[in-house]
Amino acid sequence: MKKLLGTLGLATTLMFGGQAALAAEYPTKSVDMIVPFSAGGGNDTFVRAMQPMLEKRLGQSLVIRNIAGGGGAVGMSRAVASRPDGYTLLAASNAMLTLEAMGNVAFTHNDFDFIAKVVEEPYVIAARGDGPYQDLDALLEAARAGKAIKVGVSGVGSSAHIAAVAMANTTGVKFNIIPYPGGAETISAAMGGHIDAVVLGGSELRSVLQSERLKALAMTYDERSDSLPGVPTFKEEGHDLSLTVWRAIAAPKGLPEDVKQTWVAAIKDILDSGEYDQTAANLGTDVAPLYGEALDEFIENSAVTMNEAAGELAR
Amino acid sequence: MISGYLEGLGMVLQLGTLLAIAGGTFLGILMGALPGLTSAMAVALLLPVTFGMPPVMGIGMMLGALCGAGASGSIPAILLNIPGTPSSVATTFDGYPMAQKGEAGRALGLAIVASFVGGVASMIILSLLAPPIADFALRFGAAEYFSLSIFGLVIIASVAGKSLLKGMIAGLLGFFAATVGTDPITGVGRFTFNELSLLTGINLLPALIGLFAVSQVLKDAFEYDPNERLQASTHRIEGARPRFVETLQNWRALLAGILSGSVVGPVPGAGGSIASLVAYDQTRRFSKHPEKFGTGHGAGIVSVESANNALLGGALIPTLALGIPGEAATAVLLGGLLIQGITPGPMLFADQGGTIYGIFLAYLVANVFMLLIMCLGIKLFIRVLMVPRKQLLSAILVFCFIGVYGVDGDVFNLYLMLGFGILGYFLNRYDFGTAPVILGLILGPIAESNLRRGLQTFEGDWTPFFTRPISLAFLVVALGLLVLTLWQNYRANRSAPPGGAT
Amino acid sequence: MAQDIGKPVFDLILLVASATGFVMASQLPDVVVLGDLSPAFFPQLISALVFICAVPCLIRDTRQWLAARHTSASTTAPLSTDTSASPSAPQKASSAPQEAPATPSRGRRNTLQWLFVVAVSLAYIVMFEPLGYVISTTLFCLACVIGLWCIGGSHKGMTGAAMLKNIAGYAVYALVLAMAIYIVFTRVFQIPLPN
Repeated sequence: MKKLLGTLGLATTLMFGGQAALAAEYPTKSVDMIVPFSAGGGNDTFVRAMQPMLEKRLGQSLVIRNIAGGGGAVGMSRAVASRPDGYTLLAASNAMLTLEAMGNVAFTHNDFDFIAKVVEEPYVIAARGDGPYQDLDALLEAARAGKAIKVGVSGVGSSAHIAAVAMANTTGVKFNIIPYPGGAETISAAMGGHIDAVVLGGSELRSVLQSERLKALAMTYDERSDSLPGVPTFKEEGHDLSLTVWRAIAAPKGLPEDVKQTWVAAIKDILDSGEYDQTAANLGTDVAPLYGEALDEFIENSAVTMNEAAGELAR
Repeated sequence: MISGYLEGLGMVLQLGTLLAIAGGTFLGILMGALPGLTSAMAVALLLPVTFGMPPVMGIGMMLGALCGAGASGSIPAILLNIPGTPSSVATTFDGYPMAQKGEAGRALGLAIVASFVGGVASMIILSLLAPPIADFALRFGAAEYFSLSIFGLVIIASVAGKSLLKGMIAGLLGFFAATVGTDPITGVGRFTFNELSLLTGINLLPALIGLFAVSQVLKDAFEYDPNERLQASTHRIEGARPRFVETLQNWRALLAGILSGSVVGPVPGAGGSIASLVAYDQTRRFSKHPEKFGTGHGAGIVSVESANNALLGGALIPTLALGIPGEAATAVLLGGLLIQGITPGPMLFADQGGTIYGIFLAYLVANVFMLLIMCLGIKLFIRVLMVPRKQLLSAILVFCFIGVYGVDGDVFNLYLMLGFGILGYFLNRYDFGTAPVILGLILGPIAESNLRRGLQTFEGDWTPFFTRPISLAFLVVALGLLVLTLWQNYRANRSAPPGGAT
Repeated sequence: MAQDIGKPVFDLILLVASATGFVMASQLPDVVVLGDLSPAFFPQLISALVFICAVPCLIRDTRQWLAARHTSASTTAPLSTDTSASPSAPQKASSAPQEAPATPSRGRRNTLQWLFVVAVSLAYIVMFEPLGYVISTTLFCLACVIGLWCIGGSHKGMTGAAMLKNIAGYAVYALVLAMAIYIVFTRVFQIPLPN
């Protein structure tokens, strides 16, 4: 009977413990981090890698909730609908802007308060290492000569798909864009010579680029990056295209300022300490912190770019 | 190479590493045995834990989770007719009937040893042949994927129950369900009814758990008889021990499992789910007693379970040799490798460093731990059958619900699961069967998207599907099997009394 | 043999469903990219095939059902332990008159048990997030066990005290199961459950 009482007691604590003590300093209980994709994707790994560091600084545990479905739409909708009390946050990425641009969801990026951008990576167009297209010009030349260049992307209507359309538009050529279900399938199709090129995020391509099975032709950063040595940008090749895959921490609109500052301080501390650098580099991403107004401006600009690029794709 | 193995051995044979592998294996076994929880989740859960560890220790822990989850899926499949993952669907075909005969211990004993042998064999194949097999897998373009899926769909004939026609209908229903969601080529929404959760289609997991687990619980609820004696009293618990000799006696089945796991397993995006079904199908076709399959035949269990763990080694081939993960669990593992600073690719094998050999050996050790833990646990697992029926029913349902909820945290999937459970109940009751539905659901999208992707790639030309050698080979074999099945069916029909099964 | 009205009824449902599927598929927007088949192609093909395959099934099952109805007039169908041929049909969807099973009370009890479990499961899903995991799961397990216990008729002939004792036992089971799963999921697996 004592045991039973103990269990009951535990149950009560678990059920009601969280609601007391609102007055104390944030955070007073564990914080939910919604990852709008299944475990194992880039969005999931970036938060999980940060989890121990964040927990140490916040003094509370961070609970990662994978709420997947609809290409991120389900988890993001859930985040929008939750209370902006700082106990439900979202691992955001440009997938949010993609969904918005494709017109599939009821929310926009304006329904969120962005806390910090953490990492980013460029979109990379790559072709087979021993294939005929060793640089961007060769590929574009062939396309202009009337060859239907087959470009694989991961997922129809995905951000990579939009990026590929944007690349075709800015360079003024036509690609035969072939959507694959995921990055792995796209890469293996390119390595097997079934398609001519791929457009993917840099992190997905990292290991195949290192093994030289695929060669990066160009990428969408404004400037060259240490993470992809020797890869030219579209800008320096004379095409005005700037897009990044970014990952950030966001909250539903209306987050109290002190909560926001607690988080900004924690993330700043982690990124400044250099603790996260190696992990980010190993994952093929660049630490690119951005906070406050600069971040809001960045998100706004990305949204505009995505909307323009998606233009003809969105129906 | 020998010095590499010695160096690797030094990394593995450390108390911390061994403990980490054992812990990972235990967690994998626990999560694999619960319906709904997946090996991908087990690996993802370990990911943050491995950050501070040396590479072989961290990777070994995750490999342990993969290995444990791969083997323990057989426990609910055998005892309760509930496969926790698509790859243990075929375990239910013979495992459950054998358990029904009071030989659950024997079925588990066979499954455990077959898993172990399959795992070890695939590790050997992985270490020797990874680069060439990986290059073979790269030759799969849209045409080859399409033909592979057609070859897989012919298996429906093997897993269809009493009626071939009804089995085909069930397969088509699964295929239709697979078309729900955003069209993979044009992006048009199909049958999504403005439901966000359906944008990316019907999730395989809730469908699987619904069709097999929930439908089985509904059947049990229907048949529930308060006066029934406990089922376990008829079970011989002392028979619950690993069956080394009997497993090895089924060497053909074992070989079929290992081969199909190692060859079909590495094909990204397709292999994992069908390797065990291919193994079952082939073992049955070339058996001297095909009629015994489905009635609790040992060879059926052995082929499926050896394939199940061999495909893990198979799936590791493209992951390690090319940096291309075949499905979710190896994708998480790849993330772990990258965080550890290990870059997969041909260089990983060419480099003289001991790490890759350490990883192979860690995988071997994980298999040994899996065998040990499962052997120790076997008498415990079987006690599940001693739980009174009505309590067991409710507990299984709870596990199904929170397992499916835990993966994606989406309540919609729970409704979907219940719906598929009710559908599955009637499909079983009226002789359609549920296994073909799952085949349709898995293979349907591969067939459709690759046919259309192929047409897009070949600019509207159909001929490459028949002129590319691998593609042609699959189509010819599929056609041959189909004709064979129809002929056997026709003969069986003629000899059967009128009004009998078709 | 089987005189389950559900069999032909299910075939009929398949016919209607596949026809509906075909019509819905043909309303899909017709977008075609280079060399591609339309998005409607496969759904239409599949529903057409289901329709074609379901027709012979319907004919055969109806015939068998009619034949079984005929013979059952003279001989009583033995109650098979194999449920796939079980004579009573829990046909939720159909309002068609049910064949009288060999033991009517048992048939009705089975159907009731089936419907009960479906209903409680549905309630569980609805209440899962609003009530939180612990409360909803405890209630669900308790309802399942007590419901089957009552429908099964085991409570009949028990004294009030014995019944209470039984119910208390079930309550302990439900709570312990719910708590044990909660702890394993949230602590060991780190999988969050709704509070």
